[in-house]
Amino acid sequence: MVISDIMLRNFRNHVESRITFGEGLNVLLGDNGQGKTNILEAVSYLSLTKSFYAASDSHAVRLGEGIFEVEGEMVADGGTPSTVRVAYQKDPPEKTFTINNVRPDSLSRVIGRFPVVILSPEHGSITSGAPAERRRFMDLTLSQVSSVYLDDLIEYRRILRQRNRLLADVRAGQAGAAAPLEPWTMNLAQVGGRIIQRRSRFAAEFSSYVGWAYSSLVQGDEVPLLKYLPCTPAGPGAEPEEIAGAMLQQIHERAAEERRRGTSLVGPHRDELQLSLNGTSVQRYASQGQHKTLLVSLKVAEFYYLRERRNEDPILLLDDLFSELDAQRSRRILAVVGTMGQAIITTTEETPFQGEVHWNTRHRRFTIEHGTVYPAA
Amino acid sequence: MLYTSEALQQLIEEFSHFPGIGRKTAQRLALHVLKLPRDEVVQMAKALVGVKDRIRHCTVCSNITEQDPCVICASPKRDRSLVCVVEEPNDVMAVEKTNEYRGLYHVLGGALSPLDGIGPDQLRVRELLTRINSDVGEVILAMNPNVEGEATTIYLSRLLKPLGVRVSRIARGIPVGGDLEFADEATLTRALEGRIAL
Repeated sequence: MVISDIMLRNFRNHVESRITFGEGLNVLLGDNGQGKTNILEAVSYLSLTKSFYAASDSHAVRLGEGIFEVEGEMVADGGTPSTVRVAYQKDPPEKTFTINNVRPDSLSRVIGRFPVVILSPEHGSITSGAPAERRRFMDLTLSQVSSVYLDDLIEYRRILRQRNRLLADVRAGQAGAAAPLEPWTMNLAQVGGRIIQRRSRFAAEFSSYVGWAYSSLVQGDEVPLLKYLPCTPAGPGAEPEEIAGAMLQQIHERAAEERRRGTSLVGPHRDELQLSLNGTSVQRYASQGQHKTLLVSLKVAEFYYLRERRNEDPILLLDDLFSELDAQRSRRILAVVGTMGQAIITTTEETPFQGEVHWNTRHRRFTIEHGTVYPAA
Repeated sequence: MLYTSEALQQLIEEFSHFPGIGRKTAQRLALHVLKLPRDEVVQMAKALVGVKDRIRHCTVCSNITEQDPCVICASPKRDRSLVCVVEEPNDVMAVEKTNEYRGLYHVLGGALSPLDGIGPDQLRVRELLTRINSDVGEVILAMNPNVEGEATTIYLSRLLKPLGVRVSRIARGIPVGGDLEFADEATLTRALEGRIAL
């Protein structure tokens, strides 16, 4: 998949910008705050139907305007083009998404159709932050592979909200002791079992991708390992029904505690995806360089994982790729990225590319200034 | 936006409260009403008040009706051993359109949803349980295929089974007349899960 053209209208600080991308490296140069990341965000809207960082749609509308529009030409690896368009209107809030002028049945059906791999400074928390960040990474990768997984995830979140409300009501004395918690518990375990099974399989498969990616980025004998730690221990070959059964048992054991705390304590929403280097926890002990290298490895691994399962090269969106990296690591990463698919890279300095990349129709660079895009001289 | 007539503005306000009607459509509807002959508008107004004044809930199945019990519950042609439980009156209309189902109904008035403050007491669950007697052989649970419908199905089946009645649920999966290759993956997966032995 490549994006050949994009148009942004009243999107963030862009009044109207048009870019024709090359099929290789596309470098967006500019100082901070000029609107480079906004272009990546616009591509994210076309692929994931939303921003890649937790921003509300209305914030993406340019100040003083009521509607933003983003339109892009996506070309599949087989050559089939699709015109994808997103428009968001502030008042009343309405998002319109079309592919070749047709609205999809639901926005969730779009996820995975135009696969992307995104690396942004906020993603630093995947290796250093709370378990929720790693679950989000896992969920986004799996959602782009399987719409069944995404549906389960959406359903699970809804069940969890319903069940947590009921537990909170019970704690506050607003729902009687006879409040029917059991249907929600069974629902939670049923869908939760499917999610845990998928994630276990994912972690087992994905770990080798990360190991391979890491070794291509740094010399040495550090071996990264991913280990999925579900709240309900399940063997690698466990069926969803077995996991659901184990989850139910655990929920019943912790029933009193759940009622006292007024929230669901068992399920995939409490799971951890543990990252380690040579057996040592990354989250606690890794250096800044190791963190960044591991993060890039996760993203390189995600690229190949998605490519093999979707038979389509994801588009790489790399925001501020070289921050926190020394010259040597930057060059290595660039060499690896150069062999992948189409990449759109934002950076404040061009140094890592000098002497490494020849600018032509395949590799292009642009300068962004005050929301305006210029072909770089 | 400012209108030159307060009456018109009020009508637009009223229309815009309808589900699926936005501000623009409300304005079109209101201007359409303005163009209608007076007696047609009076007819419409009467019809509007009529549904509030004449319609009530059937004391047996809780469906909307003008006579009590409703025509379905009162009909001697209906199979009284079958009760189909649905969420809302429009679900009854949907099943009735099939012209295939000859049993009775029970309208719950919604589905379990703690987020909306709906528990068993807000639904006509007790009324359903009191209807289960030796005449009823099977209860068909026909909730919407979503999280709330699923929880309601589980909840009701646990209450009904100890009463010695057969409890079933409607299947979910591929729509009739649809090609397998066009079914989305999630629907197809559910259909595979719900496969039946031959």
